[in-house]
Amino acid sequence: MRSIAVWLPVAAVLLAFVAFCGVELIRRPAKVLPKAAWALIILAQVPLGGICYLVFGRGEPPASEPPASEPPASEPPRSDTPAPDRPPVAHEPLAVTAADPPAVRTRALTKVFPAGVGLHAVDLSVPARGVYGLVGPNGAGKTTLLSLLAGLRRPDSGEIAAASRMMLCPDTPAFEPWLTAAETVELFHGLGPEAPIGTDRALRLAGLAGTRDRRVGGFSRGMAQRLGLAVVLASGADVLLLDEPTSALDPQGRSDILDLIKTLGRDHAVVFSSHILADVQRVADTVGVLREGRLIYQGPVEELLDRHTRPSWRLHLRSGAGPLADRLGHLGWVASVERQEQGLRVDTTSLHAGETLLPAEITASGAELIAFNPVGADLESVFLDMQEAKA
Amino acid sequence: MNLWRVERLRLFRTGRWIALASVFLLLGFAEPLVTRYIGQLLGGATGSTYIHVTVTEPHAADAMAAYFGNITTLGTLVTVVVAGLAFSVRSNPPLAALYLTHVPSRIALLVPRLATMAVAATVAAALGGVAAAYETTLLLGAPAAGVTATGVLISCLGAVFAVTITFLASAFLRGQVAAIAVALGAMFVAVPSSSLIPGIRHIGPAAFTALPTALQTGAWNSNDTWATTLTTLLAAACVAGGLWRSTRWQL
Repeated sequence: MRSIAVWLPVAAVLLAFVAFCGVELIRRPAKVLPKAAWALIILAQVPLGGICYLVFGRGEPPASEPPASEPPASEPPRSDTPAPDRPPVAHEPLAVTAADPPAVRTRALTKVFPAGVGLHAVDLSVPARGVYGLVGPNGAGKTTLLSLLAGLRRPDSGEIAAASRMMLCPDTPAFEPWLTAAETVELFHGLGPEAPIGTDRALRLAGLAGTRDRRVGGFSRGMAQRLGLAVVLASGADVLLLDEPTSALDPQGRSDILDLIKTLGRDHAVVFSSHILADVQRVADTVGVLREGRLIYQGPVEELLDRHTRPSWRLHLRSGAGPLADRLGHLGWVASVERQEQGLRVDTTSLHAGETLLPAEITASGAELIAFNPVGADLESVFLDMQEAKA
Repeated sequence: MNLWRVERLRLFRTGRWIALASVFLLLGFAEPLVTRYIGQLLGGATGSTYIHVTVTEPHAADAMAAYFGNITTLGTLVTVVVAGLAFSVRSNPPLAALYLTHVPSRIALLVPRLATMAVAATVAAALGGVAAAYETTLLLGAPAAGVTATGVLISCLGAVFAVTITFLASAFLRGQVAAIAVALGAMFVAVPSSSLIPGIRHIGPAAFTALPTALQTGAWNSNDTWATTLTTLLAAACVAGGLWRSTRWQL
């Protein structure tokens, strides 16, 4: 009887431990080594093999992508809890008055790394509401700037003045893999001030309502980006710093998240860095262009586009393109004429010349005109022009 | 959901509590067995033709001393690894960025980790001590209650000391492997080496870690009080140093 009392605890602990390791090995993917190798180690080195497996070899079960029928909700992120003092959400285009103090302002912000790269005397001014697009080539300092704003790095010199709380969502967010999506959002929701957007609503806005109870360890990069957005949404911050939040999303997902960012800009200050300039042009009200750590432009997107719009017109012609091109080529106010598939592209020396003289020349040449359109500038071409001009 | 609950979940959902508890429990159950049957084990291993092994009659104190001796090595090893995995906040920069921009202070982030890990190590060491005392009682008779209880308490404090050393290493080093390696180096090289320093040979952390074993054969004296006090102060300094260092973190 005494020998049973002696051996039973040892055998029970060993058996329970090995059985637990075996069940975990079957249920979950293995890390570092294949499952068969871990099985051998667990059995051959009781209990050290099992301990090594639990500490180093146990993976998280993968999560599937959210169903395609469940896009992120694009409605405005209204409050989960009654908030009688909150003003109604504006659906008109953003109108920040000059009297509104900026949400974030930096003065001569400088952070220089050993190789000389970094940020140099950046004077940033982020409006209290709206989407601020931060663009620049690789190494321009976008992520460094966001890290400084979020307080994750200390500047060498300069000042940061922020009127409210800022939250950063990194470009590849990572989470505790053993928490579920809902627990993750709930955790960060609980860390900040009372937030108007609750866990379930944040998950729904980010398109993750269907995965709320799945552990995030197996989330794809795109799902992690959505969860990162849900986390900052639920954090209650007034200033959201989003570092390339759409870089891992498919086209539909990107479009959904851009709509969400645009919506968030109605009552938050959103700083949104991206390499995809079309995305920035689509959602940003204000743009800051960084190059080699210096802010070379900051202001409304429209102003930047207007400033770089050339006096250029695209003529869609049914016939007579050749004679018209010859005729225009000899005129002093025409900068260039380019033959295109269904007509001409004409650059003039001034807007006035294009608007008054060009129609008269088309009529005089006898060409049959279908359409006469000014060529608009896009952010990408403006950005490339600015980069070339500075080079 | 709050950071305290997250730390409890970290321990339970990752299965690290099993690694921690199983080592202390298995050593607690196995060491008295090995001590009781060491003569037969050695005799069986060497055969009876040329070598004859004579082992002195084992006592309860021997079994408890063997247990305390082994948890000082294997128990410390597992404690440091599990603690290092929990404390290395900056080893995952994107996750660290989320935590550090959301928590009201870095101390608020780290205290639950430290406290949860310290409690887990204490519980594991206490369970191991109880298991060893149980098995020893069945095999070799009841060990002396006073010194056994003191030894278990000291071993719990020793586990917490290992946790605080790991906390300090993790505060200074970004990577998990580096922090764990440095903490293991501190526990297995620096702490024993302190016994070479004449002034603190009998009152330093080396004397403290050997205390549970030594108490099985000797009585508590004033040097032991000093060793316990100094090690406790050293642990507190590690915590303070780690918290101070965390306020200087940059990602």
